[in-house]
Amino acid sequence: MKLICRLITKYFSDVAQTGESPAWVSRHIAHCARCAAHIEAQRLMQQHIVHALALDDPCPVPWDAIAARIAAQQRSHALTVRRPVLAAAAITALAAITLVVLFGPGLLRHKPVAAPVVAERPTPVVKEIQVAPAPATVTVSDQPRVTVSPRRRVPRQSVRRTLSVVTNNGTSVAPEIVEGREQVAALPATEQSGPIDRPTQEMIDNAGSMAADVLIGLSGQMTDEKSAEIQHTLLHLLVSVLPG
Amino acid sequence: MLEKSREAAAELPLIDAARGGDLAAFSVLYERHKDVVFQFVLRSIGRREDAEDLVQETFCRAWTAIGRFRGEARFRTWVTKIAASACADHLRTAAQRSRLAREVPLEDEVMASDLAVPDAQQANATRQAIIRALHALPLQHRQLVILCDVQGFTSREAATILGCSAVSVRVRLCRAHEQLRQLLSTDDEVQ
Repeated sequence: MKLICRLITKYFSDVAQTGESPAWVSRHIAHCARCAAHIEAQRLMQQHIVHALALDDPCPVPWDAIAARIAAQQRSHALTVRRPVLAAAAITALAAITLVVLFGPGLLRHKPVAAPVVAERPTPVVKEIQVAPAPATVTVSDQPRVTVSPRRRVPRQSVRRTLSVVTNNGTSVAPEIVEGREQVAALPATEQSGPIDRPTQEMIDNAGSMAADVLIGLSGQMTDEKSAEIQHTLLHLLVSVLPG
Repeated sequence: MLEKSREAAAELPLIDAARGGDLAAFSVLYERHKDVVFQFVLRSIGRREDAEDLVQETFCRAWTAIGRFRGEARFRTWVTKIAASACADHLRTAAQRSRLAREVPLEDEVMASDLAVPDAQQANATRQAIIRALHALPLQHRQLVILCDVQGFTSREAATILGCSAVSVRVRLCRAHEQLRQLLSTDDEVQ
């Protein structure tokens, strides 16, 4: 098969039937028996197809069905597109009106009450702290200061101080005795003064506080005999410890 | 060609009225083109109930979109394009595809009068064979055969409807004819 025959049978067979084909196609078909036969076969098959597929009965769908469907479509469109906006606007307006009706008069009547003014009392401010040594204990201020290097550990000692506090009003707060443990410079034993030496004083303090704790803690459960026994033991301890 | 131009010119006032919301004018357009659309849809999908539903769908879509009709093509071409799109949508679902694969649509117009005489029986057998062969084609080839061979659309109009070039339409149509010829010859050999 020639190239031109192949071209015509492949691309121009349909237009050749209608007479809309280019002039060179028409000329070739007029001279080529093969192409003419192909076009004729094509035309016959097309006729069969048309005959086979042609519908005798018209479209059974009435216009009323289409009109009803179009109307339903328009209603649905209106519901889905326009109504929600209107409904949302209406609900918002209704809510706003309800809020105004419910709370508006109350808000108008309501006057804000000022908080009661409380006369501010001057807060006592500590101006100066005076440290006075307790008479029966070691007087820290009387002892000469010893410079201690930071690396040197010093023993802890119980210190009793009397503080007198003077406020800015000129009044003095009642002096209180502050008990605590403070690091003080280690003093040589020869320089320690007072009626009782330091270890003894410490022992007495410890024993006293222990006894007090025991008595307070067990007072609810302890019998009188037991209490008397403890007191007796403590007295013995004190007597044995005290010098002379 | 002249007839087509005359038809298009006669439809312009109706189209303008339909654009303005005149449902009566649109009903006239529907009466004119419903058979072409029905035939196209029925031959494309092969089931009468579905075809009736798709005709309704097609004209509802056309009513919605008539404001966008620019008048560059005939109204028939435009509405057939909408029908082709509706058919494609319909056939896109896997369920429809599997159902169509199982069923060979032979419900098309087997008329009792055709079976009265032996010639008519022969004609009916040929018709059924052609319908079977047509439904064995791919959808676009099938639609091209319907549009160009049966309904008389030009290759350019068919290209507009199916969204491809005119050259592509010609090539596909030749392939479709070739396939049909092979299918029919096989069918003859079997018989």
